[in-house]
Amino acid sequence: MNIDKIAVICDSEDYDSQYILQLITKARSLADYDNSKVLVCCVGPYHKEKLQNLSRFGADTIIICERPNVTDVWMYSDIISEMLREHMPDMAIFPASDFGKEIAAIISTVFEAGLTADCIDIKRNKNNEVSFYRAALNDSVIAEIQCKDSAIRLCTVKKGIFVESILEDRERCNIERFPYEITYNNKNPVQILESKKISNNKIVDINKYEIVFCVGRGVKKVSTYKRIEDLSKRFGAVVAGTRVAVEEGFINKEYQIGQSGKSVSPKIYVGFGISGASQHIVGIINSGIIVAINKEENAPIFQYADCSIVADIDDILDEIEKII
Amino acid sequence: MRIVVCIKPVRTEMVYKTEDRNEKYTFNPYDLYALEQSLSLKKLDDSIEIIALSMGPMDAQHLLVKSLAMGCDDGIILNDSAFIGSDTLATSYVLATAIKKLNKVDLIVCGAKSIDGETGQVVFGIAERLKLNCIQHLKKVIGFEDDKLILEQENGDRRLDLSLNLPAVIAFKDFTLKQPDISLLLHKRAKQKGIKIWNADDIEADGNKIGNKGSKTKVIGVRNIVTKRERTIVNGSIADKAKYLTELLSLGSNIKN
Amino acid sequence: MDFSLSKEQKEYRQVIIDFARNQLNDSDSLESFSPQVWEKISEFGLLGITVDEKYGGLNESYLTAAIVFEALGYGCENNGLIFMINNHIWVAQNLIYLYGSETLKEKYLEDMVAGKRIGSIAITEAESGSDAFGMTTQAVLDGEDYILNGTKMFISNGPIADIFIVFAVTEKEPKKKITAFVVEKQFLGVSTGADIEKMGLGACPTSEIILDQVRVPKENILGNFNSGSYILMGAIEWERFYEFVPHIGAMKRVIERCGRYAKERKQFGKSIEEYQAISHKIADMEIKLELARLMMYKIAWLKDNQRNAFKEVSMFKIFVSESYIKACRDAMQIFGAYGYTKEYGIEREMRDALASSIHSGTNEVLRNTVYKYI
Repeated sequence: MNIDKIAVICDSEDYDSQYILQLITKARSLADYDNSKVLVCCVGPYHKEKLQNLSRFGADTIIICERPNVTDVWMYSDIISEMLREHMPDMAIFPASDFGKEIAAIISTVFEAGLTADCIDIKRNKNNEVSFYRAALNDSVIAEIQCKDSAIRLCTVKKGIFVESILEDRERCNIERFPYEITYNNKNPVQILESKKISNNKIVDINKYEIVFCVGRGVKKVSTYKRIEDLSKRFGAVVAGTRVAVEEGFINKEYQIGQSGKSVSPKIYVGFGISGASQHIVGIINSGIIVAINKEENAPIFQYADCSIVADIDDILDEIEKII
Repeated sequence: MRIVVCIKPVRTEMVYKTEDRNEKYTFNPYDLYALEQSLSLKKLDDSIEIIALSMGPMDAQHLLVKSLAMGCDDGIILNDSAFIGSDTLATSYVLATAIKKLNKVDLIVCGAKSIDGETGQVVFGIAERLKLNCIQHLKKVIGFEDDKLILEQENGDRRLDLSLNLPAVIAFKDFTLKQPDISLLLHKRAKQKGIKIWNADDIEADGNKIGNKGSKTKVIGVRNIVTKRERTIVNGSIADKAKYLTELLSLGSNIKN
Repeated sequence: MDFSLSKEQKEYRQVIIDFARNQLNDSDSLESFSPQVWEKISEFGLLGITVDEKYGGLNESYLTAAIVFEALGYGCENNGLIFMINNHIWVAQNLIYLYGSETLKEKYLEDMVAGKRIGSIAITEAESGSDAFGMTTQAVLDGEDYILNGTKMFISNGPIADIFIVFAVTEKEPKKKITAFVVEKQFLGVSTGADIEKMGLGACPTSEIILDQVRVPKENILGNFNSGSYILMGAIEWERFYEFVPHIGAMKRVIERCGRYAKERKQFGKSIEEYQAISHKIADMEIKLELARLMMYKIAWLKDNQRNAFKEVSMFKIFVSESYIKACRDAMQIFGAYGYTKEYGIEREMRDALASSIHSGTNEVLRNTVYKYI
């Protein structure tokens, strides 16, 4: 089936965020396969430079609905739905943010279209079909999924999977304003009674760090964790963890890496006491250098690591602290 | 007030890898959390009716029995060979159609996602099909105030108390791996009461929208995860290993974008 | 012969393992009886598992009960608690259920099934253990009542029980005869001695019971007058079965622990499970577990078919207790120094296990019993 148009759906007014640019770069490379077009759908205030940025990263046409502050997911989905109905792309890529996934789920239902969640890769194959790849949990496999009988192929893509890249010699692209009459009326808005900030520690974006430390089952003591934390501060690294570390209380859920959590692709990843369960590996596969420290020499992670260090975590921390 | 809790049966070995449990299917941990939250509402008001709804194989019907033993008023399993192979689109269709059949449902409760599919798409699919509002990322129910449901939501670093008009669809964010405490007595009574089994005809489902037929995605294949990398094993004494790591990190922390 | 479990039995198994893991493994209640834990067990509905529904029970078969108790032994690490529960059910509550008059059942059964009153059996005395018939506690008729005098020793549940099944001598000449009486703790003259500190089974309190001119109404005779030995044999049969069924579950738990440890523990470059001295020990445990289970099924079948199983339970008791003790001993050896520490719980399992060759008839006496049946 022909793919003539690939759409990238923005999930907020910050439509030239690093995340969206990653998706546009990918859409561009998919489109270049056979000269298809990349369409970017935005909702928010018209911001010339931001829009031009989208063009630099690969958009052919940008449609923007100039409504500020559309936070209601039903209205947002309605706008996107109308855009899709008018422009009829064959494929649409959504960011796998909370909002992005909600819109994608709604649109998939509205259009009765196939939706693949949390993709870690998208490929076009020789049959001109598109394959979406996602990790099938717990089974240490990656599943290849295709749409069938689906007018439009939908997917949500995880953050930090693709790398954004500017194209040289890009022609300025087409920017269209998209008019939207509010036909949608949410008769049942939610009222916010009270809003509180919860933790003292700011939740940071672990994708912004170039060195990521990760603690796993092998880190049993609080003192060991604290030492790793101190070490991370020294090297400007962030400390994340596996599900076990979250359950033990060392790591905030927001810093869980793995299939159920986040993906990272730092320059250097260091796993402390990580055994290498597949769900975690999925979250770090695109990392630059993977260093694994584990006292069990047969730990699975060593098969996926660039540097294998068989050592007791506390011992090696002792030695590192001596050096510093 | 009528509440429907959607429960997905998942393979036990997906959830409990080291334990040998005598059941092929167990509660999706996110749905179990949602179920327990819903049952806590019943404590506030005993007149609330809670129905556990599940699309799954007959091997999973004991989960509906357990739901009854835990305090649900009814348990329904949607079972039909025509449902097999449903992706999230077909699944939300089947569940929404069954809920329509139930009539006068005030609240539909779901877990954040399933531990096997992990898409989290069904919740909004159900909401869209029933044309209801949907709130996710909920921590717990607080209670009722003038017919509105008061909920606690946690999103990122904010905790919000929300007031929601019914009918609506809600999804909780947490999961629990702790199995519910069910007494033998309640279990026996639940078995005696029995659960309902509905097939595609019972819910008047459109055959083109269910199972494999109604699915718009298909799995082409699976392959083993990631290619293995070229390994360097760092040898030597522990001091050597520490030195290697420290040097690597020093180098790395100086890398600019 | 169909050895498969029914769907319901499988479900029950999992329900009780979950319950045990969630509620019964609190380390605070390992060494002493906890009324809160007892309440949870009562609410759970375990106590009346084989009792008819009209008394609040579940009316399940002896086989289902055995499966449930094996699962309890597997999921619950508090052996003393299980011992206490078994004493309440099989040699107190169920004796009233099986042998008691309608009057007695109406008086006590529902409360016992609901856990409102705890039961206990009182046979042993300071000078009569194996030689149960050597007992000297006696019951003398006085009007419409019997007056009981004597002291019972090593009574499990003694300090916490409300109902005692007391065996007393009611005829000395020409042949000694005993009678079973249902004695309430609140009867005048009943008192308990100090708690006896034991090596293990801490959650089951044990003490002396002193009967000083205790007046017991005639209607509280359990079974027939002068036919206490019939009740005694019945009690022993149930005791020798159900008090040892949980040990099978416990053995499974020990096997799993040893298996995991032997895999993880490495010495001289390999997992210790690769050394036959270790793996053979575990293999032996598994063999005995399977054989014990088969015996369990057969005895349950006999009881469900109203047959006598005195010989079988005696063999069962010997085999299970000795296998369990050996399993714990070997586990301690496998775990090495760790096994000797308090933290790992192996030493506690060992301390609990050692009681099993003593109570419910010493294994020496039981071998005599088996021999007589050959």
